[in-house]
Amino acid sequence: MIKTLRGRATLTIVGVTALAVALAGCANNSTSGSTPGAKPSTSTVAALPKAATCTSSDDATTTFKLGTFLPLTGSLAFLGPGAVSGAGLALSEINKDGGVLGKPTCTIDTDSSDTDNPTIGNSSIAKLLQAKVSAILGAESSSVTENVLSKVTASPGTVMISPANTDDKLTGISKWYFRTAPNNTVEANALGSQIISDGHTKVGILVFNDPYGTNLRDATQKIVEKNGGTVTYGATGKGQEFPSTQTTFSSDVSAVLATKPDAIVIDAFDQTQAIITALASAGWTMKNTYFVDGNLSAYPKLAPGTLTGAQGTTQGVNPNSAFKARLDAWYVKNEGKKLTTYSYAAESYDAVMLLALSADAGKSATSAAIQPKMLPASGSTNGTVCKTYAACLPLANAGTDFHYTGPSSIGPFNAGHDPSTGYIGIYKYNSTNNFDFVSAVKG
Amino acid sequence: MHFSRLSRSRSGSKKWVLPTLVALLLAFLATFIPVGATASAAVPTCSPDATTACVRGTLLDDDSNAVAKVSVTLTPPTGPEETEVTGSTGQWVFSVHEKGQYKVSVDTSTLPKGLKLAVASKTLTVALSSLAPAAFDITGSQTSDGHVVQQSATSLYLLRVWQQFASGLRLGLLIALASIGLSLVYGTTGLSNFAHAEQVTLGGMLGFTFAGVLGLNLIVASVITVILCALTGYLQDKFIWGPLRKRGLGLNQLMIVTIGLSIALEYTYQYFYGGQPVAMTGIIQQNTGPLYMTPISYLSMAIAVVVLVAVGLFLLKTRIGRATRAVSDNRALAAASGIDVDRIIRLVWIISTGLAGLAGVLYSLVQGGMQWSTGLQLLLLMFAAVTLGGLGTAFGALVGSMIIGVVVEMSNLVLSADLKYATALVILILVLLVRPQGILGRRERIG
Amino acid sequence: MDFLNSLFTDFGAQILTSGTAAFAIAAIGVNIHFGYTGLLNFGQAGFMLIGAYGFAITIESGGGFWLGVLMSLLAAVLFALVLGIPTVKLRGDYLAIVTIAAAEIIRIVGGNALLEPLTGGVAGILGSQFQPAFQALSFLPKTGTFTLGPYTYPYTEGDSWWLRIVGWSLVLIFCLIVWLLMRSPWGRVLRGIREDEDAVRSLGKNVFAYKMQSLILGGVLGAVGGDIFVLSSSVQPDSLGRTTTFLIYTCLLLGGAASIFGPVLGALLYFVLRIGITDFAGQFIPSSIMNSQQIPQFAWIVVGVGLMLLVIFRPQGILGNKKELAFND
Repeated sequence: MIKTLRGRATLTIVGVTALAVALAGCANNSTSGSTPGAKPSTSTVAALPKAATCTSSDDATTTFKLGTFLPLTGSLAFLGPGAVSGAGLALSEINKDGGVLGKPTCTIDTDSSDTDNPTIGNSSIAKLLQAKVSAILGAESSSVTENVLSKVTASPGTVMISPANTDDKLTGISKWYFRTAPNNTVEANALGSQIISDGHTKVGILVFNDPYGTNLRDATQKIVEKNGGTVTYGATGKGQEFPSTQTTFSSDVSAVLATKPDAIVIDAFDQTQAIITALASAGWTMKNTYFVDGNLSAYPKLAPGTLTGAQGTTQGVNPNSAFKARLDAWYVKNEGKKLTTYSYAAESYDAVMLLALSADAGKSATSAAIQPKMLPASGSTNGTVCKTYAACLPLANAGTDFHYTGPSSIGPFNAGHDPSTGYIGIYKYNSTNNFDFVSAVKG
Repeated sequence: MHFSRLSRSRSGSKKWVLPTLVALLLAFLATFIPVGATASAAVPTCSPDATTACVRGTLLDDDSNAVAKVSVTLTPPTGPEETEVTGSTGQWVFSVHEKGQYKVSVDTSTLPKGLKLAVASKTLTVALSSLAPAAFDITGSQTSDGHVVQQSATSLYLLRVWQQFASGLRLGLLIALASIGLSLVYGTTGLSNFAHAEQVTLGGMLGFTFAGVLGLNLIVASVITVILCALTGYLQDKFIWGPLRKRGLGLNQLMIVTIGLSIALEYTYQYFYGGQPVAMTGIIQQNTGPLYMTPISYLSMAIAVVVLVAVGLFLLKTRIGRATRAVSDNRALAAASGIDVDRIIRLVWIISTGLAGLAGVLYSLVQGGMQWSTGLQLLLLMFAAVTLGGLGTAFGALVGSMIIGVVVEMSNLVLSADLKYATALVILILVLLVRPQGILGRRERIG
Repeated sequence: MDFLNSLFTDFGAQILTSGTAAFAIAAIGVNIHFGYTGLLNFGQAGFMLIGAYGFAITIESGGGFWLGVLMSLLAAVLFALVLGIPTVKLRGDYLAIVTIAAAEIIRIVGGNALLEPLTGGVAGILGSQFQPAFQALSFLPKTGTFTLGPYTYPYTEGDSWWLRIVGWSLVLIFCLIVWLLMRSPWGRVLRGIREDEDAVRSLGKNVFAYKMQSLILGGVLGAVGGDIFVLSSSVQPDSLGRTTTFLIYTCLLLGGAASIFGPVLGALLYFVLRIGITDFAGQFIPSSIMNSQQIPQFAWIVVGVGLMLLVIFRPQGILGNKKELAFND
């Protein structure tokens, strides 16, 4: 009895898995066949191999060991590929250009998951600290960072740099913590100014209840109100934030449209697709919609023309198509898939570059040596500007002050370890639901 | 007898169900209307850089129509004034190369008739490589009669109440479709299936595979999806639940097995479909009619009603349906009276997963996509609905679902928007305090 | 060799964390509910969360560590009363649904944006707001690290030796308490309720009171687990939600319900197994088959299927006694 049951259960599980593989095989094939947003220029870029996984024989002072702590599973898993490709590409290019301290770098990749699964992040941090990594890249969610930060910054202290955290509470929280994420105030300045200068004074904000959403909302609201506009929906303290797990948006859309806004800001993550559907169904003029860096991406599955004229802001000047092509090539070669989003790829790339150059400048791959060099490397001492690892490395080795500026185009870290200024790009959606560069402003 | 309400509706046959469904499906294909795109005209350009800042604004009237041919003058801190006339988009922009205080004024004499501007000039502090916006609040309208139809705040609010009630009904029907299977399985086997939500997700995911990826016609894709989902119910009962029932594994253990299955399925979806939502179609329909809903929403609601009625009639009027109810009421007695209980339960699993798959397809079409976690988010609402209505009663699930749907969609009229789901759960607990067996449940079931 | 070496060091690093101790404590609480009384409490994470709120908010508003602990326990008792009085009379699955709903309500309301001044909203209360009160009690040096074999941890900050000592000591104390309680007449009545509620009632025992006591006791352990958990992280409502409850049940069933050390062993093994699966898959499956993102997802699928197979083929877990396990209906 038990024997047959065991056989049957195993058979079922094998069968179901096989079916799922077959179905998803189809899914994968044709998604990769029609990924828009990526220009078919990948063939011209030679893809670099991924940096090796660290082993316990790698010495902590001479080998630069990057611990990545990025959302590979859970509700933010959709943000994973961008950061994975940015960080991976950076390490590969560093290795191509001679490595850190003359040795190839290595990496330990771990999953930060999301706030619903705190044990995953805790396990990953325990693993990274046990491996004595030079520095940790992550997390993408501010809440996850806050959950693990006290472990990371406790003695002896490990440098942690986030490519995506935007929570204001994290400013100056520890000497070990840095971020290359777009600063809320900087982005809100650009976003708010763009909305006002487009003639919109009554702004509705569809914001999700998450530090990312509410902080950016607060800052945007300030700019809009300073310029004589009003926030008709989703304003601070009105209790109109929707929960991040929500999947149906008709009531929120009814509510925001009842306030007769001129423009609507969608301040959300992956909920955006459902929000677009609800807004467009309700007859909202999509060109009066504004996106933020968390959801400014191509929406290839929507019918052409759905988003025409909608605008959005994100960190960085005109996205360097060469940089995107390098990311694409790296991801296809090393992760076997096409990239569908570039969110936080540039920020991750720059974070890894800053860590590596700081290790070179500090002459050691330990966090203790990297930490004091992070501010100067980001340009706080007004050193010589250099744009690539190859260009900065001689300066770092020679002990001269340098200022690394990369694709995310953030300014130097300030005393709170936030990027002080930065360029924010303004983009407009075209008829293919992809977005084109319009202009860049400094915030 | 809690089925009595529907038993009086006539027509014992279900022959009409299939043609109606097909007709509705055809109707819904015909009603897909793409959203119209408007091309934007050329505008004066300015790009901020290290030596340039842009002073920019757009003149719009109360109807958000561009106000063209209006003179706007820029007075710099030093040097000559500049004047520009707004184009067809109402936009004006000046490139400036020095930081400082700039004054922008609108020549009100050039405004079209009927438009007014209270504050005609503004002073801006401009920094280089930035955008300095100036908003001018023009009142009035340029439409032919010059009269602006302003909806009053009250009518806007009533409109919103009405819209949200309608979306509540829609959500309620979809939850009902999804949760009726949960209730049937519970009724016949006593199992609270925590993996039922993943069956709903499966509908959306397979629907995406067939319609979004393989490019099949939506109807064909939906039909294949529902059949495959029903098949998973058959396989599950044949290879997992059936043998476990025979082995006499306790209900609490079985419930935990379903939790394991639900975890495995969630991450299987993530593994293959990634973290983003996936949609069966990219076409977004426009709302039509008095209910502020898209044609597909009307169709989904119609399908849900038809299927729910069909399930009700099946339970009440057919031999197998009556046998199902007999198993629900008392399994031992049913078996003793010659009913093949295992066959009935297998049928219930097939119906249950098939309906969940259908709910998933419709949910995905109505809400614009399905994500690996969508079912997970609906699970508690579904449990709340079936418990509220009375665990194990098919019609209770319907009543409970409608209440939950309306509460979720309307709660933000009075409470914080992030408390939507919590409100539904509070209602569940309150009802259970007063009436532990649920609205349509019977008392002896709960103790 | 090198891989295995680092894998086993890693296992040790997972086992020693205070987070594992916190889950073990919460699982001991669920063991009292589910293992010994047969109460299907699916809201244990809610007990952890409400306890952590009571603890952190009290300390943050200047109440001090011990008042914080007291408030934490009181919050759990209160929650158990509010939850239990109307529901413990209901059949098991009703209780499961009501407790899971109540825990979700705590989580959602705790994350409400309007409550941000009190609970910190979704971002929650940062560890630096309340952890110093606990660290001040440490008899170890306040800064610096201590190395034991391959393991170097801070004395007092973060996930420190101090916190680990306190956490694991509590685990042992609670195991002892449960052992003593379950040998007592009180414990025998609880098991009697699990086996046959009506029989116990016919003996003149107040079943309702016993069930409430069990719910309160297990809930208080949940709150203590929550306090230990947040002492090395932060109080975030979403961290202590449904997923955490399911995880606690997984730990309990793995180790063995209705056994003294089952929940502890289960918590230890669970974390070791999960990281083992991830590391093995990462080491031996080439990225052309599974990329770096799919490996942890695969690990989760294995966890889910493993939970199913475990309950099907060994419902009593590793340490449990199959004869004890009649809590079927």
